[in-house]
Amino acid sequence: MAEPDALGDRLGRLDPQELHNLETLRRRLEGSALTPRAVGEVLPEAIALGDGADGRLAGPMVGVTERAIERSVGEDPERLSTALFPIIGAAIRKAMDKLVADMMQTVNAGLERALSFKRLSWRFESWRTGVPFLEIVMRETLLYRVEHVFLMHRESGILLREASIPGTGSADSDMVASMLGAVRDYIKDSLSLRKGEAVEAIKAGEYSLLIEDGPLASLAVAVRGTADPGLGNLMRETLEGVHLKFGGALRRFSGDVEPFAAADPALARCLAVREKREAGAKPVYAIVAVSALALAAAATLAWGIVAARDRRGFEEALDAEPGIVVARSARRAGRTELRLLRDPRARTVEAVAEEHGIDLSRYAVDAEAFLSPAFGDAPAAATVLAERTVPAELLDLAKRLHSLSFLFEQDSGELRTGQEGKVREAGDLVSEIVAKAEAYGWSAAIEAVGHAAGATQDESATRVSEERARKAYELFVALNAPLAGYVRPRGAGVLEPVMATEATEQDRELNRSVTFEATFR
Amino acid sequence: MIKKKLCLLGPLGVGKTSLIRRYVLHVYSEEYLCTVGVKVDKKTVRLANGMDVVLMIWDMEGQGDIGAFAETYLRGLSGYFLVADGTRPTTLSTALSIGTAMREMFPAARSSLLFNKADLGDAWALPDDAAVSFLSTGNPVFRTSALDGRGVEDAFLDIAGRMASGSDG
Repeated sequence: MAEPDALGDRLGRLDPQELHNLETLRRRLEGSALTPRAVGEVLPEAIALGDGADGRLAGPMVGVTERAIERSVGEDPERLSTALFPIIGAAIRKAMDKLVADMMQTVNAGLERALSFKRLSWRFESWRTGVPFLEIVMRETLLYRVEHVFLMHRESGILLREASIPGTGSADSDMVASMLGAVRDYIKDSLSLRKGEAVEAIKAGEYSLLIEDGPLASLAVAVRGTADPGLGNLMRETLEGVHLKFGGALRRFSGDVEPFAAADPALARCLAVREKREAGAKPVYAIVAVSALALAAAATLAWGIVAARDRRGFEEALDAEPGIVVARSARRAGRTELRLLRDPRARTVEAVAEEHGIDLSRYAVDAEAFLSPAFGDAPAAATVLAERTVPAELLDLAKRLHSLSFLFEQDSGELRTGQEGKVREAGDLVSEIVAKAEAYGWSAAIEAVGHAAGATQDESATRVSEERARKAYELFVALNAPLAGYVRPRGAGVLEPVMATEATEQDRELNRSVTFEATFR
Repeated sequence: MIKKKLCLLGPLGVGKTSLIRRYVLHVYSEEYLCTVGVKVDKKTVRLANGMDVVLMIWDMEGQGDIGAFAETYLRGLSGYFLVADGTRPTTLSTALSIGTAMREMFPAARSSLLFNKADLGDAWALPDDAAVSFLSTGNPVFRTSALDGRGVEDAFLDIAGRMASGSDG
């Protein structure tokens, strides 16, 4: 064995390549000690090599992977389900699409056997065009329009983004979204629904609210009409896309809604419209077939058609009448029930019926008073809606209140200077109206109605009129807090102008305003 | 734009709804409190640094403790007011016990204690040291009046600033 000095001499004589080889050898020997660091460095490469040739590594990994998933679910099921949510949704939908397609085949066969006048025409169209019968049935019956879309933070219910069809604005969206969450929780608690169950739809009149929940966000749409399954799919796809794109932002959400602005295009796609085809666009063949079937019908059916035509004619005549709107029409027990909105300044229903030779005994007419823009000027609501019954003193007070017009800057919710004194005057009048109405046995309700100048009722006109109404309302409440419950703000846009025509700049100034309108019940 | 959920908690009759009526734009009628048990209002606050904070203010039916119903509505809040009636000492102990439960459930949330009805000076019944135990939690106490407005705006502005500055979810 060489002495250390002798070994040093020999090493000193080695050339650089031999020294490098020795260093490499030393590192390998150290690596053979299997430290975690050494294993960590080679593990990815080793797994790739081990699985590359014949896939032997997959076998031993199965048990480990299963136990890891089992443990993850045991510790926190939410974590894995949240991670898999975007994938699971798509997979389930694919399977459901196939199921629904199969089901459609079955239902189609059943419907083919059903006979009715309307269905016969649809069957004819199916035969003529080659389109499946059920698809035609759905196309003819499922008509809807999505008017509002809300994207909400799941936990807090805070509105992240929204999309609306212009001109369909309603109450404040932030409050609508939060109250929707509260009402859903209320129903869920009241019905003792289990975890994972939720209120997915709320129906009111011709509107439906459809709600889809994801782990971190919820999507709600307000639909007018009857939605089809395609809308549900669209909502689920949109929500999954939001989770994929904004998963991190949703988990870290602390009130900042700006990062979600990029979701706007996806929300806008949910503003789907499904409308019935124009009658004139129907193929000639279909019209001929329907006509032929109609001719073959019994005399009683013919009589029914004539009666129906009379009804339609009468409804169209009422609708065409200035100040009358047909809100609803239904046939019940041989009578036609008509629900109308009628401005007291419009002609009477009896007069319209007489002109068209209609026997009113076959109708049940229910008319609700309203103010129609068809009559130009917009006097205080009370004077029109109840001029025969409301005591004259109340009408006088309502007129004085209406005459206090609060003027605003152009395209702005800012009050023009010098208007503040009117706020206190309005407070005194409202206070007097409320007290005197009560003394007369009436209840008073006051609206702070925001107006906008111009002729087009678009989104900006609605918005600025709502801003003005809110501003006037806030000023009013700041000085007259006890009266807050009697007044509510409403934006009318250009629909209820103070000045019917805007011939001068002064007219336009008067239409950039808020008026207080009193109604009595 | 920052949006924050703020809840008003306290026993029946301490003036929670009046405080909101004094301060915010409301759309939903107060009947919602009797039917659904909750009413949501909204107020946009501009902080001293120019930042706008939208407060979604949840007014809840008066309660003696945090019941199962209220717990559902509290989810996702960033802050809360505990409201007591300065003329009724029993309401303070109820508000403080709600506060203790709330700090366990939402340790990161901001809070304030409001002694309401400060306009009723003659009937004031709280001892001088009434605020001591709550102040020790590091949160402020305000004397407010829904009638004359004193302290109300200050209390909302203060909690809006603290909610906006913290990442309290």
